[in-house]
Amino acid sequence: MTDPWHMLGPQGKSDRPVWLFAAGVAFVLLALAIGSALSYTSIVVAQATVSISPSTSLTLQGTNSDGTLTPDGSLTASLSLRVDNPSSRVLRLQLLAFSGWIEDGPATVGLNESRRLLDDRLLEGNSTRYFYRVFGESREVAGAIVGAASAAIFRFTYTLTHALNPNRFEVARNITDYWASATGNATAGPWIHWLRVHLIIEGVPVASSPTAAPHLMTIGTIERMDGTNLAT
Amino acid sequence: MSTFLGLAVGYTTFYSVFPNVTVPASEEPSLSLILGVLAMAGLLAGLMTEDLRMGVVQGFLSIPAGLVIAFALAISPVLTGFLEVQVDDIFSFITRLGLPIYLFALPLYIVTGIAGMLLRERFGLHSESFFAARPSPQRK
Repeated sequence: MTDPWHMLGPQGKSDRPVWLFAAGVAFVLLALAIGSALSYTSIVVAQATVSISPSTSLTLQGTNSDGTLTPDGSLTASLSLRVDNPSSRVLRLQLLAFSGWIEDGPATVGLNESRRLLDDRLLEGNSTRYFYRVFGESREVAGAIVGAASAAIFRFTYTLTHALNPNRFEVARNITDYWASATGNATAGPWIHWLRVHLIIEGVPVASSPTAAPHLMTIGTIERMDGTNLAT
Repeated sequence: MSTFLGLAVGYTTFYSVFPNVTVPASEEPSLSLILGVLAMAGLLAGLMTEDLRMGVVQGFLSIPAGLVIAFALAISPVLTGFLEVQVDDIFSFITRLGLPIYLFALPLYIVTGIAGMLLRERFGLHSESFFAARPSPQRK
């Protein structure tokens, strides 16, 4: 009876093909390891180097001859957000949170004590400045891509009208009226803005399982903030 | 051979810790990929090994080699100067989170290595100088 372990005869075969196959597997493993290191490095570089530079401007539509807002006017904040991406990864703007405060002149000079209690405060040395939050919004952004090694500029507008938020609009009117009477320019009141941006690094799957390690949920995202957050 | 096995351990360790930044990238580590890579490496090592004792030693040596490779992959961004984490923190991170792979790889390497050696015996494979001329068929 033939021994199944020695069917090939006593001479057997050279193991050279096995060595060649193992060399091929080693090459593939090495390529995967180097590719992983490069991918990881590019993600770390993206997280360290991406920067944002926002600029905001305020405009009033529907004004009286003295520049003050009419009841059917509107207040618009225009946000221009520049994202600089020196890395080799493509980024996608996912979430934008924006808040804008105007210095509450009437509350500061004591013309409106009740609002002073509700305003956000900015402490400067021994003095306190009072700011009213006119805009506060968080929105998801679709289709905003920042290419690799490039910069992109995104523009957003935030509008406040009587129809959208009567209470907030009337307060904004009162404050802009104050600045128009005090300085001759309704938009002259000091503004403070704050924004937070969430960018997704394309090609990095984010763990969706609630039991996944925290670093697997955050490694593919970049968060940047700018400005002063007065919200309490 | 230990370096080859260590490369498999190092890659799968890094993959298990950072599955979404590796090549291939996935949301969470795939057990089948980890098993497949380690089992194939162990089987190939067994096919190329003639001595059981040497095979076991190679399996043991592959673990520190794998740890070093996984650590090298994890600190690779240091070369760009942007990694702001302490190196010893990364080492403990890779050691701690990679522990299941290190503990799992050794018995798997021994089992698949023995399987490879049995296959080597089964097919009657024998080592041959790589540069030796092939024997010409003898005429009767």
